[in-house]
Amino acid sequence: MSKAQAISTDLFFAVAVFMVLVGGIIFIWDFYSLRLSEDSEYNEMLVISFQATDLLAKKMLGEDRNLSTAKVGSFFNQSYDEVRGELNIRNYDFYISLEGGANSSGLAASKGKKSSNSENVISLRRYTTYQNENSVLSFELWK
Amino acid sequence: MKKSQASVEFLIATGFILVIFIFLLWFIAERNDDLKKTGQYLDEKNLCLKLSNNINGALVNGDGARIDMPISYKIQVSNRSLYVGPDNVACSFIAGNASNTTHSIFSLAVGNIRVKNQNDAIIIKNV
Repeated sequence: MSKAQAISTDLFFAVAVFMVLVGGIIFIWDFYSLRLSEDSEYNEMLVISFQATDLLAKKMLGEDRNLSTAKVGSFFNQSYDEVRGELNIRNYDFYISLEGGANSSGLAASKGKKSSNSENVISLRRYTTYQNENSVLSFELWK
Repeated sequence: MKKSQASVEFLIATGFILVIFIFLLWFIAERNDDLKKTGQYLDEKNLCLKLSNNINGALVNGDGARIDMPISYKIQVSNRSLYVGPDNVACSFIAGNASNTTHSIFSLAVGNIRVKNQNDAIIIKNV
C-alpha cells in the first residue's frame, strides 16, 4: 500500500466516525427539544388544573367552609362549553366530579368527559365539605 | 511516490478538513442560536405562568389581596390571556375580570407590577 492511499483511508474513516457522531448529536438534540416542549405543555396543564380547582372551590363555597348546595347545583347545571369557557380551558377537555355529601356516599355531581387513553392527563383531587359531610372534588384535565 | 503527488493529496485532504470545520462551525452556531431562543422562550413562559398564578392567587385570596412582582419583559394582557415578551409567549388565567381599572386589554411595562383584588375584580398595574 502506498503512503497516499493510507492517508485517504484514514481520512475517510475519520470522516465517517465524525458523521456518525454529528448524526447522534442531532438526534439527541431533537429528542430533548421534543421532551422540553412536552414538559412545557404538561406544566401549563398543571398550572391550569391548580387554578381551576382553586376557582371551583371558591365559586361553590357557601358558609363555614361548606360547599353550597345551590351553587353546586347551578355550576353542574351549566353546559360543557359554558364551563369550559368559564374556566378558560378551550384547548383542553375536562371532567369534574364531586363525591360525598349528605344524601350519597358516591357521586354527588359530575360534568365533562373522562379521558380515554390520553397521554396528557392531569388529575387533581381536593378534599372539601359538602352538606356537612367530607367530600372530594376531582378535576381531570386532558388533551 | 513523486513529490508532486503527495502535495495534491495533501491539498485535497486539507480542503476536505476545511469543509468539515466550516460545517462544524455552522452547526455549533445554529445550535447556539437555538439554545438562546429556547432560553428566552422558557424565561417568558415562566414569567407568564408566574403572573397567571399570581392573578389566580389574588382572586382566590379574596378582596384586599395584593401581590407585587417584578417583570423583566413587556406583557400584554388581553381579556383572559397574557402575551409575554418579543416572542408573545402566551398563557391564560381563569379570573374573569382583570383590568388596569379602565381597560381589559392593556400593556404592562418592564419593572414592578401590583396584582390586586378589589371587590373580586382583579386590578393589575405598574407601580
